[in-house]
Amino acid sequence: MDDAVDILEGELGGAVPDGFTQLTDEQLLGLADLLQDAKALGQEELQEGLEESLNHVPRLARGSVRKILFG
Amino acid sequence: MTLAQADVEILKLARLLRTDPDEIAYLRDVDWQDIRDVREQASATMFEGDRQQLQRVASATKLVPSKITATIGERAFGPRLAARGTGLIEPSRAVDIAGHLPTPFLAEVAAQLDPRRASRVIAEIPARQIASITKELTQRGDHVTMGRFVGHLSEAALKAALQSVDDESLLHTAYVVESKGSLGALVEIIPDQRLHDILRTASECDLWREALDVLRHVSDEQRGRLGDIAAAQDDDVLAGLVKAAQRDNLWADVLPVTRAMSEDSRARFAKLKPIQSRPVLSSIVDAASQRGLWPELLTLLPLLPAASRRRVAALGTGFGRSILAQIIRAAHEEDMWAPLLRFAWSSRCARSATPPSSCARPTTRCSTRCSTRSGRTACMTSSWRSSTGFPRRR
Repeated sequence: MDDAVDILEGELGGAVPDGFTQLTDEQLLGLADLLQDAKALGQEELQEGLEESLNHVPRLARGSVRKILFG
Repeated sequence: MTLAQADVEILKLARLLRTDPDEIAYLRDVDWQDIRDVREQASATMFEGDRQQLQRVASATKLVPSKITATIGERAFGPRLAARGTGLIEPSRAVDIAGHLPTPFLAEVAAQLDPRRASRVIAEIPARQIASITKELTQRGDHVTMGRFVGHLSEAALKAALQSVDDESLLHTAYVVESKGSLGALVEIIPDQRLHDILRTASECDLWREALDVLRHVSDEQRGRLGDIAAAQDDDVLAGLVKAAQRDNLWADVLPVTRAMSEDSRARFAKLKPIQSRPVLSSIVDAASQRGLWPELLTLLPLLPAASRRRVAALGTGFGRSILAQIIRAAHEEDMWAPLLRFAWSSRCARSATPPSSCARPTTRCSTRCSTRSGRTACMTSSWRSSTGFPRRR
């Protein structure tokens, strides 16, 4: 139980509220997985969005925008 | 269908985690506030994880005209990513960009946006655009999203939104408003006629739970105003309220409304036929007992018809000493000896089959020691104090 709580707390970046400690390990780990997947999907979308966005930026500004977006 | 607060929070968490609410339905047994806390934690950690890159996107928008940024937002980023970046863009710039985006896309962004992170942007969006987005969200039946924005909109935007939402959707939305403290500001700007229509809709669509939830979160003054508007409705509307309160155990929400309404409204409510049945009266007394709503009950009891007062008095015979002490304490603290005595006296008259009209002014038939209403109250208070050692009311 403690392990599952720890894993979810690791994903959340903080302590889970008391009400969540009554959940089963399977449920807690399920939530941790969902959160991990959502973060990964968000990061994936962000990278794709950044690449795609350059195609819509006017040529003249593309270099400057690329520098800001990707350093 | 009325959603429980936990269901509403599950829906919001599922959206954030991109899953079906049924997948996390096991959270129904968890306190809804805990689910909300976890959602806010998850939202924060997801946002912070990408903050640096999102900040770069926000900075880049300064180099590109708003119209082109809007196109990039719609075609390259999509609503979810656009929502995450919104709060990082300078508000007037974000509003300008939003002005170039189609309403359906903005509705999608709204559904994904965490309003707390974009409060300044939301506050600056023109009222007419808020109205369009509200209309779109209403058509989609997305009350949850609308409910999240209520506390972040300007008064002008709220008024515009109200024009775009029908009464039924408004009741659903009010029920899921995230910051319940903002319901007062919402009620304040709704004209009486609209409130009248909304309450009628609550009856017609069986949405009294939603309506009473609003009444629970507004000021006493607003509760009284809404109570008076409710009491002015036709009998069938009020009968619907009584039926819903009885079925869904909502008397603890109704009693404070009856106390806040005017004496005339309360008298009308107390005379309603559906109130007078033994099960309903019993539920009302139970609610008062369980929630300590004795002052609320005491304002209502003397206005009930004689037969109903007799029924309530009969229910009261089962009260133990602690309940009786609660009632007396409430009468003492809330300065409600007069209604308590009026009820006690009239119930006694009712039991002895004395016509109610002769009991209308019980204080004129006071004990031999006191000939006035205040005198009788004072002597009974004094007598009770000396027997219980209860402190004198200041």
